[in-house]
Amino acid sequence: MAVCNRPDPAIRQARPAGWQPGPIGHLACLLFTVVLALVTTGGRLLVAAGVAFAVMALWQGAGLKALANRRLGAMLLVLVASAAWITVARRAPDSPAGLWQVPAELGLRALLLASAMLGFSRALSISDVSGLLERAGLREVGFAAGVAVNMLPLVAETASDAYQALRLRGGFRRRRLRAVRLLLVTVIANSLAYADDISGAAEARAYRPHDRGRRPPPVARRGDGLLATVLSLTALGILALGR
Amino acid sequence: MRRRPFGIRELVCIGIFAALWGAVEMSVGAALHVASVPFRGLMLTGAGIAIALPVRWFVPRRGSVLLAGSVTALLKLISVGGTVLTPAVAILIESALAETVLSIGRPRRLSFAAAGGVAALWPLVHPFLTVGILAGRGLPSVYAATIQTGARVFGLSPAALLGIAGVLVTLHAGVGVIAGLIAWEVGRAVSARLRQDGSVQSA
Repeated sequence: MAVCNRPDPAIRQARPAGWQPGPIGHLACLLFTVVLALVTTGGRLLVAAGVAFAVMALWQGAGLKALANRRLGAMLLVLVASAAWITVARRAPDSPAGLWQVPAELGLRALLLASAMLGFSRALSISDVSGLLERAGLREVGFAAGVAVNMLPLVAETASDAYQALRLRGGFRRRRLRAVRLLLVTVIANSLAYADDISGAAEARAYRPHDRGRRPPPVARRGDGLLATVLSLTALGILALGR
Repeated sequence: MRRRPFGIRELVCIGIFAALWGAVEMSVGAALHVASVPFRGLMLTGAGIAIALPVRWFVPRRGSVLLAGSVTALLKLISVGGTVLTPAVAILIESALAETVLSIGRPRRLSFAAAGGVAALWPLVHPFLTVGILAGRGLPSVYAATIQTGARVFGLSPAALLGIAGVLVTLHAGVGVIAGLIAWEVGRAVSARLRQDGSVQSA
């Protein structure tokens, strides 16, 4: 099968010059954003978002691409609108700010979480993710999860392309169950076409998940501990703001 | 007897199916949760079964569906959304139920349908575990909420307990059986297409 323009998920984008965190550092960045997005409100959430996006700009640049994603934007719009509608329906707001605070916070939280997840999944390779889980004793799950995390954006894109192609050809106007089956077949077949490339890349690196003598790939890089400490202290500082 | 470990190619296939299931859980699941659609758990389980059960066509070994479900649950845990723990538990249990049924004998159309039917019953039981036991609201309150939702959606009287329970069980099992049959057909079609292309060896 001749496929020329397919991006190889095993090949990572060229990393910028300068210090880059290892898997533990990237995990610390993800946890930093997720925890702050879930526990902060009001002004603290704004500060947290600013710091989290700055951290992403430094080490997880792909996460910022979520800001320009139209589909995510549409989903956030629906989320904010439905939250605003529920807010209006449930109580009379004291002020316009009171009306928009909850929906705006909800939208910002969702954007932060989506960006953090995208940045994390793009920053780590399959061996990084599998290394993290292998250290926890989950060898098979580790490798499969590494593949899944890396394939996730690609699979979503494949599914979206196949859906649009089918829809533009009028696929969902009649015999919808057949259209759904066709969509599933196309998406699964296109996704499985990557299986050869990924397993070939793993075998070329002599990767054997069940080799008991093999040490899992290193998960910490010099400076990861310092980064985790600085992020933890920053998170505590943001949480203490205005108290 | 020790189980023969999965090979790299098998793990890659499992990872791809987990990514497919995870993509549905993260996108459609989040949207359904926001919209508070009734039976969203059943819808997601149906979609998950239709997408994940075909993994058995490409990794025809015991444990492949359970491993795909475990990886999907992990993906769900690190996904966007307020409630991720209980859906992750549901994904894990549904895949375990489907795996148990598929492991009885050789997988065929009937076992795919049965696996789907059994797995799709879990969303009916799930609130009893998560809300009733784990959240401590008690089983009677969950039972009452389930019956009230069923009565409202199907236009039945809340007094017709057996009727509502019967309709709910039939609906869940029916959706699961249809999803299982779709999974079988999809697995067969994908397998045929890939054999034609000569790109991936299938079961």
